[in-house]
Amino acid sequence: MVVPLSQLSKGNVAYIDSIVANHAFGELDGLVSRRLADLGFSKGMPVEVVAAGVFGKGPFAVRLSNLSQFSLRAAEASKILCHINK
Amino acid sequence: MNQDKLTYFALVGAPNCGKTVLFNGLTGSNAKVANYPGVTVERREGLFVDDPSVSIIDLPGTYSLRTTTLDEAVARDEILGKYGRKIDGIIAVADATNLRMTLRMVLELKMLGLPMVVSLNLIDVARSRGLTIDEKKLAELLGVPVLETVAIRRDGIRGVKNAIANLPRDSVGIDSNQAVKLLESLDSNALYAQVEEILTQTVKTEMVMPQWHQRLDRLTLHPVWGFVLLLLVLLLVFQAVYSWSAPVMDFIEDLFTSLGEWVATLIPEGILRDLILNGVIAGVGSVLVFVPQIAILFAFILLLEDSGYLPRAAFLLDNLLSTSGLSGRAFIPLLSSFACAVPSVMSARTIQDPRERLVTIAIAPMLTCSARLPVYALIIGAVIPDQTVWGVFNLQGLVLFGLYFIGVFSAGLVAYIMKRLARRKGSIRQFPLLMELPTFRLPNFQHILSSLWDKVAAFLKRAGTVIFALSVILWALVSFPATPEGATAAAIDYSFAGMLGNFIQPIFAPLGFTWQMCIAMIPGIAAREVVVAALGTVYAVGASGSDEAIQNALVPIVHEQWGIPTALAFLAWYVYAPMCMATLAVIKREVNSTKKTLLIAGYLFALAYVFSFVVYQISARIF
Repeated sequence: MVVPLSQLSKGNVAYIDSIVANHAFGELDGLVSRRLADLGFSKGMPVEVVAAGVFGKGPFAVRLSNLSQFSLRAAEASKILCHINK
Repeated sequence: MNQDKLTYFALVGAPNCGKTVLFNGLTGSNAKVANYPGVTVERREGLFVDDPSVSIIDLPGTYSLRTTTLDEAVARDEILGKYGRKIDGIIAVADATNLRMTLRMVLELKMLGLPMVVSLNLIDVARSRGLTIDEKKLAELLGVPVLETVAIRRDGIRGVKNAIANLPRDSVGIDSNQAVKLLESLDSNALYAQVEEILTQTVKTEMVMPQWHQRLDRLTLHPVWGFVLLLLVLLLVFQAVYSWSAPVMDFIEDLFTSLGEWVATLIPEGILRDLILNGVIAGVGSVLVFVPQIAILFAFILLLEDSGYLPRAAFLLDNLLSTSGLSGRAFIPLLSSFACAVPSVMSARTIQDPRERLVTIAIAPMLTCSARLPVYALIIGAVIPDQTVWGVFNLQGLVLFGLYFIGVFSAGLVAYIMKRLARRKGSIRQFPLLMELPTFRLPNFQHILSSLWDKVAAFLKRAGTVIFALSVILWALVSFPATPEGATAAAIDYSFAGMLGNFIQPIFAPLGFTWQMCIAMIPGIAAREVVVAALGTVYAVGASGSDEAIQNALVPIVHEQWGIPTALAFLAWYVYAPMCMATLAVIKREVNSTKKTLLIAGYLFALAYVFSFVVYQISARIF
């Protein structure tokens, strides 16, 4: 079962499945997807939610298994679909 | 050196990989900073210390040649030769603490087919965290020289210097159309698969994130404690700025007073002496007095930036800032505004969203910059009683804090209103935050000192030339025409400044401003620091004294002649008054539109007038 990264909570670890569209970004969406891919959000990559904002709704601080970390708002986090189990 | 014979190597790498420190090491202190034609992104280049026929260009940091911001697009365009220069080789900087991500870009750069050298930077940090890597094998797999680099140490760049010296001087260059097509067709996943393969073959033990780092991350990003820490940090910074700068500022003031006295002994009485003492020395001195505050604030900002903390602060503030239509990225420019709006407006370049960038630039001047302090100090000193309130707080201090608060609150409110307006027009676009949270590292003090020097020098040059010119002009306006025979009023009343002040006074009468204040406001509209000195001239309190002396002499005058409502209205005016010429000039350059600049100056002027009017009318009825 895949869930968007934006629905994970602080401390969760998941495995990236794919990057999907989010029409909230309009014509920028393709660029955002590409940038996510370039930054290392690749299929199979383990990702840990280090922080999830005051109400758990973002922004999210995530750590990839290669130890690079990023801040994501809920909008771009919801583009990243993950498996909870490998 | 004949420009055509220069070889150009581009220094390319992600932000936060220590590229700038490496650049400084490769070029010594002879870097030149200019602007790319047509855009307000800075171009830094310098001659290679080991071979002056090579010029190294420090490109803006970018995560990929498939770009998302203006900065990054400029880096890509320079490599592709779109700025008219053929790039002969690439020095790719990889970050050993972020190997996977930065190696992907190395592979991307390799596709361009230019001669290349890879600098594996921060290798010392990565090693201390457990990384062992076979860099010979890495070089073999990549097909280009790979040099371990510790950019902050002089001996740590020997290897990469030699490799650069061995790069061919004249290469075929890039076919930019072909390169663009190639870049568009790249598949990140495929590149990462290649990277994984390379890493499996070259990394013997992987880096681990130290416990202290994980704990620090949990703290700095914590929804409650993270904020507490941020507030403490901000408090510390502002406390340092005001209390540490005071002795240095006094020293500078005394220096200028002594300078004035010494000059007075050298030059006989007359116009020239008057010009130098009251025009140049007083004017320039009033700018230099701010250098300590600005330097300390910038030093802290650089420290926080270098250590990796600022993106975490941006993370915490993102929710708050987005209620006003901004984002965490606006935090750093807005913070710098408290020192001086000029560099703050420039650093708004890192904001991807053009609307957000414009709003940030438009509200930055409302955040109390250090130039307003002399005006605030004068009025508060004259009008607000020096008493303790609620047992603990000094009333004068409270009022000062209140003025800061009004500035911040207004900035937020205006941003919010602009968001609502944009939403109604339908021109709000969703932009991602997507900021890297770099690893924590020890700040490099040498780098901080040299960046600090750059920033301070830039401030001095910009503000200094404008204010120098203004001081001379003000002096002329105030001194000519000279007082006619048998004159009874103050000398200034007969000068051009006097005429101008009296002329505009009716506009400001509803605000309770006197004609003397109007005269002082004229240079003040262009450069706020000069207002107090101008008031000193107007009230003829002996213009060649230090700022503090003038202030002290003015306090009783303000106290007796203005009355509280007028004084408060003057304070209110300066919370919003359109900023100094230097800031307006930089805003015009950054937004590239006279119309927008005028709109910004206009709305600030309107806010100042309305707020001042309200304060005057209300307080006239109370006091």
